[in-house]
Amino acid sequence: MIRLKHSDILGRKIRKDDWNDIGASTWSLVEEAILEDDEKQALELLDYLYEEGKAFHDFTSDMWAGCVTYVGSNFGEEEVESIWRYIVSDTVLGSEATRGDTLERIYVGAELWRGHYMKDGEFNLVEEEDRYVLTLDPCPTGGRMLITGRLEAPYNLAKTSKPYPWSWNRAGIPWYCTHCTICRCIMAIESSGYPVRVHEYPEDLSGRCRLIYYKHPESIPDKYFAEIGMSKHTSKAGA
Amino acid sequence: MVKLERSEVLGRVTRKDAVSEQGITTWTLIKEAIREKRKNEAIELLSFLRKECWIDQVAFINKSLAYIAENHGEQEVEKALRWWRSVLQKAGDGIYSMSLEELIQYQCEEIRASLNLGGKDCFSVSEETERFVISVDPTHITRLSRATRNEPAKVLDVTQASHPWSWGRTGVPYYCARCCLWWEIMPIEERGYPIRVHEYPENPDDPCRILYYKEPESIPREYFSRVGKERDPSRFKL
Repeated sequence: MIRLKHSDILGRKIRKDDWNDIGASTWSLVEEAILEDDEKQALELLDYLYEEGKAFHDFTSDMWAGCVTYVGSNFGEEEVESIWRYIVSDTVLGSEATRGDTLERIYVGAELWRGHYMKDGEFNLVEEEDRYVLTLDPCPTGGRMLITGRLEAPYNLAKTSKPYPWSWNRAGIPWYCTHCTICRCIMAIESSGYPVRVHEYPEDLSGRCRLIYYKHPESIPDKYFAEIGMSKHTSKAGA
Repeated sequence: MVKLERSEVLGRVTRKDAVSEQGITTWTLIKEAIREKRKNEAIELLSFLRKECWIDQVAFINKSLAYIAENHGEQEVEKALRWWRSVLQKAGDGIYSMSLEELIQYQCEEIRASLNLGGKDCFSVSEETERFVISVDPTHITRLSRATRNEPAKVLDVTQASHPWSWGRTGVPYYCARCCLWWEIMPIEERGYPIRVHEYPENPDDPCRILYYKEPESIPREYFSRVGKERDPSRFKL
């Protein structure tokens, strides 16, 4: 029997099913409730499915950021760039996010952000003449860490102590957030001549972030190259 | 209006709604479909949502730990994992005050979320006289390494030397080693006995079994010695 009950320790519901049932996927339980026209059960399980996934998402996201903080704190801040390059080299370059035309990349990017357990109103995408502007308020990964105290004790996820090209030449940028500029901008430029997207990282560390996807690499302003210590050579674009 | 259409880039369907509607969560779209009795659409969106939510952060954590091992030695992986668990403890992670049943329920939730699978039997939980046994189907628990046999870039990095924190074995993914440290070694150091023990499979065709003993006194000596610890019931903090 499926029992969705409140947990005082977790402060939310959790499945306290019979042991025989607890291994059943919540995805399947939602599907079953939909097929049986049990609207109440379907909606309740869907809400729980969100909590179930988000708890694991946030746990792994924090732990990942913790690994990067461990490296930078113990072996030097310069290694933050190295570990990000190591992590993403196999998995991000050549991935879906870098292929297809701009609109296809927008669809892939939008899916990726929604997949980070965003809620309605936290994600806004607007098409402008030469670009798409995606506003995350807050960003569901680095922004969440900022506004939920992950950069304070006891977590102490670290920030840049001085400007680096990979921190948009700014101090005070969470090391976790720098993976956006390292893999979506710097490594993308090294590989194809232009960034997959550019970022307007907030001055106020509010967790809000703007991501800009230009329709044509030629339209990307020079300042987005200069702020990460690179220069614009679009000759590789489309190669 | 939601438009689930094939993406050549992804090789599957994705949402190709109007740009202005991309920010509406798929969760909301499913709820609307359920409430408006559009059953087929709700099921189709649910199936898509499962793919949308599959962001493999475990692989990224494993890669981060592999970086530490490769550049600074595997002993630093142990230190990093110990440090992060201590952070979680200081942050007041509720799992350290859970009852045995609550711990099992919570781990089951974690397994369901990490597997991100459909089906009624992703894993099983059975109660025996002295213990509870969680058995995770090998096709699921080692899914990452199995699924990536033909994709070398995605193969999980594993321990190169045997360590107490890898159950004295080589070939254990760094991420999996946290189970040994966090749930066996560190609890033994703190309270004298492991919270749960793991029968990590030698053979990828065998299930990963996780054992929760009802009473610490029942935990066999071998589960202490294999992680370099001594079984001393006088140190058990019950």
